[in-house]
Parts: sequence; structure tokens; C-alpha cells
Amino acid sequence: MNLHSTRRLSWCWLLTAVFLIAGTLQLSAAEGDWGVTVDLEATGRVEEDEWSDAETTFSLNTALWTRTLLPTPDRPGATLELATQLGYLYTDDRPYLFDVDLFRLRGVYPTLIAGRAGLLEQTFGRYRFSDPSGRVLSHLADGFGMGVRYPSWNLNFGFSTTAFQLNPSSSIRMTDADVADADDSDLRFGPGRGIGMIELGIPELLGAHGLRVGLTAQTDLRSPELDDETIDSVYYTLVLAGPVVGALYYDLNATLMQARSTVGTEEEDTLGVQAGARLRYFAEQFLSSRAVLSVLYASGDKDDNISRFRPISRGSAGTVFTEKIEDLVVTELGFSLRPFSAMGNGAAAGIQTGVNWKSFFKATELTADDTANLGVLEPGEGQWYGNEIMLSISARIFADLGIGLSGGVFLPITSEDLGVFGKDAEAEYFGRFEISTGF
Amino acid sequence: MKSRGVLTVLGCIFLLAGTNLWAQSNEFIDAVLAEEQMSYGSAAYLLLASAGRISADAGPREAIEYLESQGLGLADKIQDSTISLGEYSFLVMQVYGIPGGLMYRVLPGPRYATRELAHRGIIQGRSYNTIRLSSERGMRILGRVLQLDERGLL
Repeated sequence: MNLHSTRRLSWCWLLTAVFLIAGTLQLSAAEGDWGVTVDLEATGRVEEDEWSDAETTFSLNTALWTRTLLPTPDRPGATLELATQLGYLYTDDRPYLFDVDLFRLRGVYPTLIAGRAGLLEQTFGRYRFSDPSGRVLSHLADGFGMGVRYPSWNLNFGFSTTAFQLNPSSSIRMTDADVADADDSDLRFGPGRGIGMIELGIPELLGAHGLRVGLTAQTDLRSPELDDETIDSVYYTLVLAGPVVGALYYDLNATLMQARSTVGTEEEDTLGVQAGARLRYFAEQFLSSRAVLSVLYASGDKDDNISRFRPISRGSAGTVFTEKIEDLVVTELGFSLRPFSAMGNGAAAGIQTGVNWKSFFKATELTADDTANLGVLEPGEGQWYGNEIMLSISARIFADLGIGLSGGVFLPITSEDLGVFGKDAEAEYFGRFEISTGF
Repeated sequence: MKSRGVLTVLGCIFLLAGTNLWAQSNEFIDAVLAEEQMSYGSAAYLLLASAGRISADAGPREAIEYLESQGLGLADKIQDSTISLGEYSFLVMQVYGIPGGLMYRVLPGPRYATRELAHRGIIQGRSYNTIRLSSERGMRILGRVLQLDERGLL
């Protein structure tokens, strides 16, 4: 695709989006709302002893959003809502990126099934699809969903595709080919996947302990070139959450992955596992404190039985340490408080400070392939990547103005016996300043 | 039924306001509950009575007159006109003197009043300024305002 056709497509895309948004703005004059958000972010990242090579980025993200309640004649208690958001992103390496961040039509209707009152929900358009844990899939997609909700249980299912997500906006990076596409500026759309999901929730399975079970399946819609891998996979997820005692809460999640990867005419079936546990403590009386302790495991290529866990959308293990959550164990300890929360409702009361510690471990022993992927010349013999410490302070000065400052460091383990990166590994520093406002 | 919740909220309103309106307000409560949507007169009376800005035996008409005398009235509205969530929010902000955000200070009005109250957790659920406001929701919003006011958090 040449530059001219790319630009032409960009403008067609933009004009279509503007037309749709303008239409809903007109509608929202009846019952609805609209607004504009503006988010500025500056980040810096640098390795120890390489201060002159600091990598800095600046981004401006602004969006026009609308919410419109549409008439629902002859359906008492029903609501039909159209939500749209057109985003514009400026970054140093890409002067503009227009995208439709949200285009969702959602109807909620009171219904009766077997004499019991509940809600029927139908959703259509572009919106975020997530699996019960949020760790397999959490991504915008185009599709539809339906659900029924009762106090004692709810059931949801949906079908969608990521084939129309712009390539720079997509974090669907399951295969090497997907990853390679991320840097291909000629590609308009990101990796295409067809996704189906179904989820059953029981909010009060045992007292306040809730259960969610889900099945998420994806099929690779790419047209593979020679030697490109395609992958189809199914994920069975279970999430259990509830109180432990007082203001201490837990949540547990586990996902089993069944995948079939195909390269040419060769097929390979694999199993992967991801599991996590988290404790959270809330102490409003002590300066609105929050504490979190968690552990997350994602399997790697261990033996014939268990292989690398490959989620549909790629998440990042940490803020400074940005490896994907595959073949990894992450432990986390975090604490935050609002030091001036006793000062009423002024701007100072909204100041929040936090500290977060993460440790990262490779789930399996280091192989030559891993060493090559990590770009390490003299690796260690252990499985401990290192520790990440983040400090943050943020303030919501007004309802429509917030600022945030965060900084941190990733300290690799340089012990050859324990570490992955070897004795020459260096610390990496990170800083970020954010301002968000809107009108 | 919704009546019970609304009565509870109204009870809180008058108790918190330190007034003795409960007995004589039964008729008013019935009238408000009879309104599917909050009227301008009911909103003005509820807000001003709960804030102690008008006397206990005043009515919606006197409440509107008071608002207009203070330059706080809503343009193009009469006593029985229904009001939107945004208009009600704007009245709440003005009657209780709640400071707004940046945009509210530049352009005070229903849009940014709604966002301010939503940010403070006073408005829960959909917070579109042009949305219709039921009487029940209006009284729940007022109940939250009074709770925060009592704790000095407005």
C-alpha cells in the first residue's frame, strides 16, 4: 500500500467517524451528553551509565465522546444507549492517529424467565471484550454480545473480531508474525482474530464469595505466508473472589489454554496454564490506605505436558520491565494512601501516593532461544529477572483536572547463579508525567 | 416499593436540616411522589428548605421567588416545568455553594455542575446533564448532599 492510498484511507476513516459522531452529537441534544478529554504524557526511559541515550517520548491523546439515550417505545423500564468516542493520538514517531475508540449500542430490557424478573442486555458495535480474569483478553473488538442478569446468576456470550483494529492500536500479538507486524507501517489493520466467549457468573455462590467461569475461543484469521505460524486456542477460566475478614479481600483466577499452532502443513497441540492470587486490604480510616499482595504464574515451554501460555491480547508484566506475561512468575506488593484525606474535600485531600514492588522470575529454565530473544550475550544460570520499584504521586485537583508523576527503576539480578541477565546487566530507570483534563 | 425509600430519604432531609417539617410535609411528599419527573417548584422547595434558606411553611412558589430574587433561578421555567438532571445539579451547586472544577468556574451551568456532582459521588449511575430526572432520584441526590454537608465534605 503506497503513501497516497494510506493517506486517502486515513481521511475516509476519519470522515466516516466524524460523520457518525456528529450524528450522535445531534441526537445527544435530546437526552445524553458529550465532551472532550485531553491527556498529555511525557515519559523518559534510560539505562544506567547510558544517560546520554535517554529515550524520551511525548504523547497527546484527545477524544470526543458522546452518550445518547435513544427512545424505546412500548418498553417500560428499557434503555437503549449509543456511546461513541473518536480518539486522536499524537506521538513523537506518529504525528496523528485517528481511531474510533468506542461505538457501542446497548439495550437493557426488563424480562421475565420462568416467572423471575431479570434484565436482558444486548450490545452491538466496537467496545472492549474481556474474559472473566481480564488476563486472556482485554481488547477493543467489533462484534455483539448478549446477556441475561438475575440477582443470583448471570450469563453472557459474545462474538467479535479484531480484524478492523488499526495496527498501531492493536495489542493482539500472539505469534512471531503478529509481533513482526507491529512495526510494519504499511499495514493498516492489526492481526485479525475471530473471538467467541461465554461466561457464567454467580455473584453470591457462598455468602459474599462470587464465582465466574468462562470459555473464550479465538481463531486466527490471518492469511499466513510461508513459514508463518497461525494459532487457534481455547481458554477455560475460573475466577473466585470475596472477603477474607473485615476489609481484607481475595481473588483467585486460573486459566487452562488449549492451542493448536500451524506452520505450513505441520500442526502442534499444546496446553498452557495461567493462575493468580491476590489479597487486597482497604483501610479508609487510616488515610484511605490500600495494600495489595499478589502472585501470578504463566507457564512456559516446560515439557510435553505444559507449554507456553499465550494470551490473546498482550499485557505487560511491569512498568519498567515490559516483558509479556508468558513463561513468567510475578510477585507484587503495593501500598498507597491519601496523606491529606482528613482535610475534607479540597484539592489536597485528593493527593494519592503509592509505592509498588514487583519481582519477576522466569517460569522455566533459560534456553538458547530465550537468550537470543532477550538479547543477552552472557546470561546467568538462574531464573530471576529482577525487581521493579515504582513510586507515584497523583492528584485530582478539580473534577476536570488531574496530574500524576511516577518514577521507578528495574534492578536486574546480577548474580550469575540466580539471575537471568548475567553479571553485566544494568539498572533501567523510568519516569512519567501526566496531565488529564476535559470539557 | 419506591415510596418507602423516598420517605426514608425525605425523613433524613428534614431531620438533618433541623426543621420540624415532617408532619406538615406529608402532603408535599405525596405531591412530589406523584410527580414522575421532578418539577422546578418541587426541586426549588426541597433544596431551599433542606438548606434552611426559606421558612418551614413556605411552598414551591415562594421557593422559586426566592431563587429569582437571588439571581439563581432557571430561565424559561415555571413552577410545574420538569427539570433535567443538569438543571437540578446546577441548583444544588448554587444553593449549597459547592465549588466547581475548572470549566465550571469559566462556564457555570448544568453541564459542568452535573460532572462536579458525579465526581463527588453525589450523582450515581448515568450522569448526562440533559437526562430526565425522576423525583425519587432527585431526593436521593439531595440525601447524599446533606450527608456530605453534615460531614463538612462539600
